[in-house]
Amino acid sequence: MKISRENIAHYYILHLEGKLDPGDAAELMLFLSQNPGLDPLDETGPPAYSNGIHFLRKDLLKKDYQNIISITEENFEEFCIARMEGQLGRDDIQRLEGYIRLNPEKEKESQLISLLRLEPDEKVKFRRKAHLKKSVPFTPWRKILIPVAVAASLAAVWLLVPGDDGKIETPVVATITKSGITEQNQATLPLENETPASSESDNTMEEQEYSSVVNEASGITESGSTAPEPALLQPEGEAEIIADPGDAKEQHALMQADEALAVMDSESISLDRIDPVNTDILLAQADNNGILTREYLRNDNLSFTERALLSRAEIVPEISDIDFWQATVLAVKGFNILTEADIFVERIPGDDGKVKISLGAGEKTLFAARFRSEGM
Amino acid sequence: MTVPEYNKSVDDYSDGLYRFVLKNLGRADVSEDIVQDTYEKLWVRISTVDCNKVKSYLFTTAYHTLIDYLRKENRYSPLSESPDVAFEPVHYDGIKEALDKAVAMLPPDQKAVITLRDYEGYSYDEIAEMTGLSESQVKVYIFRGRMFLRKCLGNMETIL
Repeated sequence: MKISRENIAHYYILHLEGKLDPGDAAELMLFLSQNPGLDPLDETGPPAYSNGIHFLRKDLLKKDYQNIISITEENFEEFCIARMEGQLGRDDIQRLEGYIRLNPEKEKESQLISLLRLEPDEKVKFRRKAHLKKSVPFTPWRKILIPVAVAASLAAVWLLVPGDDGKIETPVVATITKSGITEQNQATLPLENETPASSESDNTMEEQEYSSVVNEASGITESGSTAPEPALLQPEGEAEIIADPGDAKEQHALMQADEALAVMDSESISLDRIDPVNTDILLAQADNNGILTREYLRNDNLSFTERALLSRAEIVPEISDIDFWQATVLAVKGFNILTEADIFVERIPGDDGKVKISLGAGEKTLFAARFRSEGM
Repeated sequence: MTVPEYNKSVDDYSDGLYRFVLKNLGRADVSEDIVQDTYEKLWVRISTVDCNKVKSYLFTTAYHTLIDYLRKENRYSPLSESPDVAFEPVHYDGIKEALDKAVAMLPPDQKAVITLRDYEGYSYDEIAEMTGLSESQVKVYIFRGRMFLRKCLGNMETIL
């Protein structure tokens, strides 16, 4: 049920008639509480006989206990209940106590009324709690992903792309930085030339831009595998891939720092998720040799570590000759397991017959990627 | 509202919710069903319910489910008038027993607002939001209910 100011009169009337489902009635009450002053029946207008005429002095007519001149036998109980309910001011309480002092026989009655407050029996417990509770998969990452989902960075190191014509593309590094979120239809967008920020950019490189939107039906197609299942929490944002060969050594160095877990390979693909606030902090990392982690191992997050190791064991491939496509697929798969993201890669044949790479993410996420590869 | 927050609400509020419903119905099996049903409704709406208002949502839902149940059982009087009971002096073992018996005789609306007030400490306006009554109605129901309980209890000597 979606209650709005436009339809509230309908639901309110159903409520008055007792025809509203209790859950909907609760929603109605919440809506009214969130919209103080809203007259749910305003849409129907005032009764025909009222002609919009209202008596404006209602508040002047209302009385408080202090308006009652004296406490009497008749209104004594009312005063006692009002005191119990916290409705009496200090002066009225003193008046009541004075009345009791003057009429000691009223003391017991006053005590009796003060005992009318109901007390819950703490021994009574609800026995079906276990039936109500729901399981939470990947709890640690759900907490982690909320801040991380704001922004992330990915790096791909050493891309060897065998083209359809047999030519080999030289390694390229891609850095992805999230900056926002846009939704677009699934399409491969035309390329857009743009100079990369890197100071080490090669003049012989050509820039190409791809955009891919994720669709549950699409995914990794070339390897025959399917797109990962949509994650519970998906990173949202628009990513920008800017090739920068200068990052290759740096990323390689980062991976070497995780030597204990990493199976290093000179031709590997890695995907990094970096803290959006402090971009020096690497939050998670995956490569085609398995999953590498840094910060969360240091943080003694044992359950996460165990899961990371387990995941790593599941995806470690046996690769004798590095195939760029397979390596990318495995790196992305590892990254998805590690971060509960659902990034995927698509293999897009270029006009020149060479295979291009496009990274995508979940159904709400769009990666607009500028991908730079070395010229022919 | 997240799943952990939902589970925390089970830990935090299910007992109180059950006591509230049980006090108003007097039947443990039906009360348990209503509490379970209330949480199922919360689960369905987990994405729309603010975790800061979950307690209010639960008690509001339970209250309306309770009233619906009483309507079906023909035990609900919308006029919410206290029954006209002849208050014969009865000997009780203590104030609690006397009060329990008196509460059981209250009309559903009065019983509900008094239990919300005493068990959970809700203010008049909060009870008004939950029940769909006006704040003035809530005040009147609570006052009438307490007067009724007072009359039921009779004299102090009868109880003690």
